[in-house]
Amino acid sequence: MAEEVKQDFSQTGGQILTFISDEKVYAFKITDVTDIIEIPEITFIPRTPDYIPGVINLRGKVVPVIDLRRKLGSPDFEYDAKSCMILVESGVYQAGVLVDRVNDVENVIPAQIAQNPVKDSTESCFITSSATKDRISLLNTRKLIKD
Amino acid sequence: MPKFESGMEGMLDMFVFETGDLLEKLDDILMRTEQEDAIGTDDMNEIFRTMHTIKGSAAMMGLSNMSTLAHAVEDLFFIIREDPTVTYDKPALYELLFASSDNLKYELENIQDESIPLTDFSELEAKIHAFAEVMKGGSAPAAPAGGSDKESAGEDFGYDGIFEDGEDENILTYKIVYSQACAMPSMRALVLMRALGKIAKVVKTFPVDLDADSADDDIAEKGLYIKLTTGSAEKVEELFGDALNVESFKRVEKPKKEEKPKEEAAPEQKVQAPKPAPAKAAPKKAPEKHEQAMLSVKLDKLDRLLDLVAEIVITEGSVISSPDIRNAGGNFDRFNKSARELKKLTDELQDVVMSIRMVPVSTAFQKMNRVVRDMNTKLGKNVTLTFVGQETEVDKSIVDLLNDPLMHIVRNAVDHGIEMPEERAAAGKTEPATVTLSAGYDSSEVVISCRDNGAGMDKSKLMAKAKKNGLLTKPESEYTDKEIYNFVVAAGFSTNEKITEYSGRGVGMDVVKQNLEKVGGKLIVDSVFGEGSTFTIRIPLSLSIVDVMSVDVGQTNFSIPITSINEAFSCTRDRYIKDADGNEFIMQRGEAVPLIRLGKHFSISEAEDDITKGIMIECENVNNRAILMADRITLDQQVVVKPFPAVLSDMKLKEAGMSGCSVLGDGSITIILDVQEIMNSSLK
Repeated sequence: MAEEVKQDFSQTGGQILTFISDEKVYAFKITDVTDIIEIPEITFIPRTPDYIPGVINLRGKVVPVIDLRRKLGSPDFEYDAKSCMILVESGVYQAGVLVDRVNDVENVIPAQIAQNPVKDSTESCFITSSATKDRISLLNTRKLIKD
Repeated sequence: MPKFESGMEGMLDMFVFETGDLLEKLDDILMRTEQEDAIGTDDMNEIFRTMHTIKGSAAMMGLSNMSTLAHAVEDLFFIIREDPTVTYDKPALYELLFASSDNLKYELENIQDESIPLTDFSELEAKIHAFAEVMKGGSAPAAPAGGSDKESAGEDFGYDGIFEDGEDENILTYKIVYSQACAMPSMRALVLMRALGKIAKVVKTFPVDLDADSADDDIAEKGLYIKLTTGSAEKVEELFGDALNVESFKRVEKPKKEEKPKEEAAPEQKVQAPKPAPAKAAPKKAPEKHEQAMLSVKLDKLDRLLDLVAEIVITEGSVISSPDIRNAGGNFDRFNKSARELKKLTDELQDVVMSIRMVPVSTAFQKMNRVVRDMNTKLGKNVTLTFVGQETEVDKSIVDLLNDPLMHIVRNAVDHGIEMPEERAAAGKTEPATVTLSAGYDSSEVVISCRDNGAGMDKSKLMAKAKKNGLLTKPESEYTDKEIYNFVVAAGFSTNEKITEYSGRGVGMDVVKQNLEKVGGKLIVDSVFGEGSTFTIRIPLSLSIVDVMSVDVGQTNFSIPITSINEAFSCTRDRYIKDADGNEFIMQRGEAVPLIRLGKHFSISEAEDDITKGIMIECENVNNRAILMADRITLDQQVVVKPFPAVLSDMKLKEAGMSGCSVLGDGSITIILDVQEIMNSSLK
């Protein structure tokens, strides 16, 4: 199912939320993003992989946190006041993703999108920003938070 | 083609729920009357009413197969009711009735699946009709089916005054003929009227009163006439064309010559046809009277309510113990008084909401009657099923969950546990073969057990089989009786040499065990050779609000359910023992109790190491006792257990001893521990 949605995106384009992690520009489809918040207090849960620093209380709901740097194998980073947590959702799965800082919302058209030929990878397509000419990696939300 | 009338999707849930309920009740009555060997008038009426309601609602949904089947059964009972002296083959009758009930249930289950076509019940119906014929033949020759004489009436409209003089030119008149298979054309007509209401104005129908008892027969005989005005005749015709069971429809023109239709007997008097129309209506009114006090509510609404109440309890805690108030100083007498009032009210609210969800386990037990009955017929074992404590109330979700495990266990008891009558006689057993289902509470658990007085299990046989299947993990001599009996529920373990319809593949019990474990339940097997076996299910009362003692370990807050805690104490060094293998113990009342350091168990590096500085919590459950060590106790409180978020579901947190988490009043999160799992994984 995730595959279909992704396919659609490379054909239809749409809005994306871009952000930076380890000096690289990434993006989520705006439809996957539910919220952007300051980093709240994180409660450690034992016996979880190290890219999950714990869970947060999001208005009474317990939501797991994913450290994007650790998940993608980048060096650790002292998250500061500019850092954010992007809350994303894919089906029943919901998670807060820790990023260095959030950039912008961009509108992209199919011409800017190049599909990742590797099926079901964490970065589903590569987008060339129309404003900055940056190379943006669109993350596969489902794959990032569940696998 | 959709299975049911369009526009009825919203009613589907209700239909499935109500019909399922009715079928359950029907089964109960059938079981009882079969045992008592007599059908009383009340039961007869009840069965009649049930079938009639099912027929009606199935017809409303457009499920003609269900409604005709229900109709056939109704006819059967009509014969019995009209002539109580009629003689018939009782076992065969019950076989037919149970088969009908099963078929209807099956159809209900599949109703939402578009890929499964509607089942054709015509074979079963034919059997029922044949049976009915035999019965009729046995009694006084029944009145020949009347009413067919009207069919040859041709263009005769059959109703008086369809076309009045000086009628508005714009009024269109349609004649609709329903197919023979349609059990309750009046019901279909009502549905059709409702749909019509959106696109046309119905002026009049013939028969005039579609709710009337005679409407069904009138429509079947003479067709349905609808007089309406509309802006779009095409749309109306399209609607007629799409409606279920409509065989034909045509627009009728006002006859040129005003010819009075033949003055036939009034429709009401013609109803001597096989369908007992007037009789139907009377019993239908009765159940409504005493069901008014009950209300069926969707379960997810109750879940939501429970969630909300839980949140209120927690929020109340955070308001009352808010640091702002504590730091403000001054006199808080009035505040404290109000706070106590509030606490009382929320406690009561919580109790009430919990009690709404409580249902007696009898609903799950009653279904087993049927299982045992069927097996008795097939296996000839003549087992009696008895219930103890069936009024025990448990959360609705638990009752739903019990159905499958109980079915497996009861089948197992009847098939494997109870011997054949000859064997029982040979073993000198005089008491009747009995399977007893009992229910009760034990601390915070519901205990359901199934005891049979059959052959029991042979330990040496079990052991040999376990050995053969390679299930042994330690030397044979080290196995306790309990462990040996529990082989029975291991995967692929069946001591039955023969595979029967009911059991013997060794799959069922394993699945039962796993399903129970998923919800924190346990399955315990015990047996005495020659005297019988007992299967016991223990499931935690699904109370999502639990009393816990919260402790800190390093930076992490854990909560231990109070029900597993014996005592909490500070420890002195002289009570500490460490054996040669590195196992740690604390001397507690003369016994060495294993010590589990939570910090070590959860790999939390900053946890307290010194046993004299930490806090010891002695925990106990059915099989084990252990002392958990934490850094410090933070507080006793009530928490709402929430499952871990879906993202973490594959991370085996439950197996590591964490059953869920909870958001506390101050917004922080605590992890709820499952002491049983911690002991299991630490004390190997």
